[in-house]
Order: sequence, then structure tokens, then C-alpha cells
Amino acid sequence: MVHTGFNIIIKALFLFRAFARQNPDLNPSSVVGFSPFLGALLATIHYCLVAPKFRRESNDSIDQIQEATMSEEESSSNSGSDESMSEDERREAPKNDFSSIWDLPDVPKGQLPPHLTRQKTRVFCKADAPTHTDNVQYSGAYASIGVDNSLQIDFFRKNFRVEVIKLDKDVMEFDMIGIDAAIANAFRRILISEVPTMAIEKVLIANNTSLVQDEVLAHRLGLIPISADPRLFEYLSANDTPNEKNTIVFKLHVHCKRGEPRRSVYSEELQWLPNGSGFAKESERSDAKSSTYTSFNCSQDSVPEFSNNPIRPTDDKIILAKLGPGQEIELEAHAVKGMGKAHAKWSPVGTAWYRMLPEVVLEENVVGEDAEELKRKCPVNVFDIEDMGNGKKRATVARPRACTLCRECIRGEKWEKRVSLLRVKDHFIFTIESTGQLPPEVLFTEAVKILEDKCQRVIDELS
Amino acid sequence: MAVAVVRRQERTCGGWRQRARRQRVVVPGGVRVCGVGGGGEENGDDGGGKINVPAELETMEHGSIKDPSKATFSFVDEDHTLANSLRYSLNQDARVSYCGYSIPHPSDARVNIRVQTTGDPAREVLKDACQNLKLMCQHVRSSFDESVADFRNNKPSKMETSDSEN
Repeated sequence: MVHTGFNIIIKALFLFRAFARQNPDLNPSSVVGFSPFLGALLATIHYCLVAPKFRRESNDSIDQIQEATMSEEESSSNSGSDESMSEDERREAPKNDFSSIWDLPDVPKGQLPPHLTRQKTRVFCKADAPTHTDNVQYSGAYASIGVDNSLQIDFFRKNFRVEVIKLDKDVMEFDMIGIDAAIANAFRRILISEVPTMAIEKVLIANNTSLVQDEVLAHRLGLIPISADPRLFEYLSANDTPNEKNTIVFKLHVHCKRGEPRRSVYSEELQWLPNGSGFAKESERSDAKSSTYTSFNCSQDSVPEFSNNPIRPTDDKIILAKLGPGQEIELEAHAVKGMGKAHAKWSPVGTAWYRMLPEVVLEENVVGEDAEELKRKCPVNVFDIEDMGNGKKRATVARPRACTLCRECIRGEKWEKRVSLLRVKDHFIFTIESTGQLPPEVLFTEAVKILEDKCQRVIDELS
Repeated sequence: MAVAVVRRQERTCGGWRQRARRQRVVVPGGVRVCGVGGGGEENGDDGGGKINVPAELETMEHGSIKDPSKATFSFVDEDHTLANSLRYSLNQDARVSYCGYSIPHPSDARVNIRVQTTGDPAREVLKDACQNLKLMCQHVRSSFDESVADFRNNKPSKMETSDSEN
């Protein structure tokens, strides 16, 4: 293109020189007015006749354009360009037997070529930054090459699977394969903030002579995880009365007597009161029955779920406060149902996270000394040495799942082209650490149910 | 939990229609909390719009009567959790030519989802996308439960070959 740009300028200069020689009595203003017009004329003619050749997809186009411009220069006038163009066309015609690259015999129709599939399904973690991190979601993204990118629900059903790796009382690790990051992230967000639990919200303090201030003590009480199934309770809104369906009452009465050593107050000293609050409300009417702060109609003990396993904090040894001699704490704590969105004390997970499955690919054969070096470089032992006989050693990828993306194996110029670190975009390794109120597999099921409920709510509101 | 009640407020001016849905909060004890002069909201007569509806409790569809294939749906009490999943599900539908979501301000729990289709009404396409998402969730749940049951049954043998990672 630069070559042809120069051609325009050279042609313009030549023509101007010829023009000036023929008209020696020009004054400068007329020449100045004339040359831009001449330049524009030349550019237009160039664009119309020569440039269309750029738009053809064949690889020979650039050579042919250069040939075309050189033939224009030889003819040295605009009238000869018609003939040169038809010559070019005749030259190009035999090379363009097919209409597009997709008609070539060895290109698979209806599927993406392998490099595009790789870009679509893998994140390439290069030394400086990851590339191809976006998911190509639009259903018509590959419409021009006849590949349907839309995801049918049957396809999802066939390809989706879950594999549980570790399952404990508190921690769970499992793989979800065939799902998209948007849904996996939705589950993670719901686990952290929208699965409800029970936690202490109101603290009625009768006596606190300890060194821990009232509000600090109340804050600490709120953060204690309480092992009560939140599905058995209802939400308590502002103008509700606390009753046995929406409140759990705990009592704490500890005293460090004079002469005793200093002691700590542990969460196991929180006693559950299944019959509701014990504190009497002050009433102005002297003849009224004294009411308490909660109105339990029946004891929570009578419910079968709680009669055998009483409600208590999940951990016994959480230190709430420390008492010196003569200090006393007497309080009542009411626990209600809430979501992590409102306050983190209601979050049922310590945390929940996911990562994509790492994939480590050796692009070239790494043998001998290099293999040893590679094995040594990796801090989590992703690579292994394989003996090939004759004393030759070769590096293999043994534990790609352990890769933490420290990028040590691609540090250094020669290593970048030998090892490539990838992430599989639709394979998520989920880890859920529960605080103990609900087991982690129940938590995940609840999170999925909550997403379903949200969808149902949208459907209802739209109908 | 909030219960959705349909209250249509159709103001046609210049071909634009806003469909307002108000949520009625049902409190235990049967007290209806819906503003001063409450009641009578079932049959769409707004009498000049004097009912004190808190403006936040509205889910709206902003669109045109003449062209139902393009609309913006505004949901309250929603955030990226649902909006991104819905956007993914919408994109998988071949009838959608454009879809996206935005959160006008992070302090308001409000999400605008824009859907433009190749002819079908946008509301139907959004409903189908929600339905698809629901089906996906149900499938995820059932696969997960199966997997956990499998794992528990095979646990004694798995404990011997433990720790495939690290």
C-alpha cells in the first residue's frame, strides 16, 4: 500500500512537471489550485481500478496489485489502465476455483476448526496475562461459518456431570463439568450471601460488669454459628412478635466470684431456653399479667427435630469474654433467621470458592537435562520424569490438577514455547467450607433451589 | 417473603406502555402493608395514580406496544447473581439478537435486562430463558445428589486411594 501511495505522489509530480513546462507563464495561485484536484483525480482512479484487488481473499492479491501498479506506471497514462486491469483479472482467475475456504475438502463442516475450539474452551495463561478469558456465548457467533453456538438443554443434560472428590462434615470439594462460569458464580454468590441461617440478633443484657463492652459482647454473640436448621424457622420481620416459629432464645449467666482466678466464658455456657424468654417485661399497668419479650405458644422442645438434639452453638470452645474476680454477665440472646446479604453472621459458609481445572501441555518433547530442570522448577510437582530406556529421560505431566499457576515453568524465554498453561473453561473445582450449621452438600442443594426460586419468581412476575 | 400481585398501570402516550407490577408484602397476622388508602388494587383503577406505592417495589417492562420484540426488564431486589445467569441463558437462545444487563447504581438493588429478539416478543423469550435456567438448575441438583450418594456408597474404597490432588 505504501508502494502505491508513492506511485500517486510520483505520478502527480511528473504530471505537474509536464504541465508546468507546457505553460511557462503560470502564476503560482492557479497551480496551487490545480494540484489538489489532480491528486484527487489520481487517487480516485487508483481507488476504483487498483484497490478492488485488495478486497479479494486470495493470497496472491498483494503481488498482483504490485504488478498492476507497475504496469500502470509503464503505460504512464490513465487511459491504459483498463487494459492492465483485464490482464490482471485473467491472471487471477485460474487460482480462484473455490468460493470460500470452507469448501476445501479437509475442513470439517459444522464444526469449528481445532484452533478456534481451543480458544473457545481454554484460557491461555501466558507469562504476562491470560488470554481468551471470555466465553463466546452469543448463539449466532459462528453463524457465518455455519456452526451453531446455541446450547440446547438436552446437550447440557448429556454433558454435565458432577464428581465429588472430598466430602467431610464441614468441607466439601467437588467438580462440576460442562457448566458455564455464569452459573457457577451464581451458585457461589448464593452460597455466600443468600442461603439463610440462624444467628443471634437481639441481646437483652441484664447485667454486664465485665471488661467487654455491651455492644462488643453482643457483636461476638452474633458471630457464633448456631446449629439449628434454618428451614424449620420463618423470618421475623419488624412488626412480628417473636414466637417459637421465628426465634431461638439463649441465656448466659456467668459469674466469677471474688477469690476465684480469672476465667474465660465459652460458647458452651449459652443455654437454650426452649420455652422462650425468661425476662419479664416491665408493664405500666399493675394488674396486667407480666409478659416476657417473646410469646411462645408451645415449647420448642416438643418439636421432634429438637427434642433429641437440642439447639446449641456448633462449637463449644469459642471464647466470648474473660471475667476477673467479681465480674458477672447476665443476658438473654434471641436468634433469628437471616441472609448473608444483611450481615455476614448469617452466612452459612466460612467461604466457598471455585477454580477452573488446570491443564498443562508440553508443546515440545522435553528431554534430558531440561526434563530434570523442569521437574525441579515446579513447586507442587506437576511434572514427572519418564525413563525411556537407553538412559534417556523425558518429562511428562503427572499432576496437572495441583497446578497453582505460579508460572515458574514458563519463566525464561525458551520455556514459554515448550510449556503452555491452560485452564479448561467449563470444568470447575468447587470447594465449600461450611461453618457447621448445615452440611456442605445440603448447602449446595439449597443454593441451587434458591436460584430456581428466583427464576420462578421472574416467570411469575412476567406472566 | 414477598408475594407478587398484578396491578396493571397502562398509560399509553405515544405508543409506549409501562406495565407496573407491585409487590404486596404479606405479613403474618394478615395485615396488608401497602400504603395509605390501600385496598382496591386488584382491578387496575389507579384514579390518577394517587396510591402511595413505594416506587422501589416495582418490576417493570419498558417497551413499545407496536414492537414487542425489544424491551428492557427492570427487576428489584436482584443483582449479578440472577442477571448474569439469565443473560447466559438468553444468549443460548437462537431467537435472541441482543441481550445484556446493567446495574444502574450499586446501592439500589435493581437490575435492567435488555432483550432484543428476531421477531418473537421479548417477554416470551425471557420467560423461556428463565424456564431453561430452571431446568438446568434442576438437572444440576439431581446430578449432584446422585454424585454425593455414589460417593458415600463408595467411600470405604475411596478412603484407601485418597488425596488425588495436592
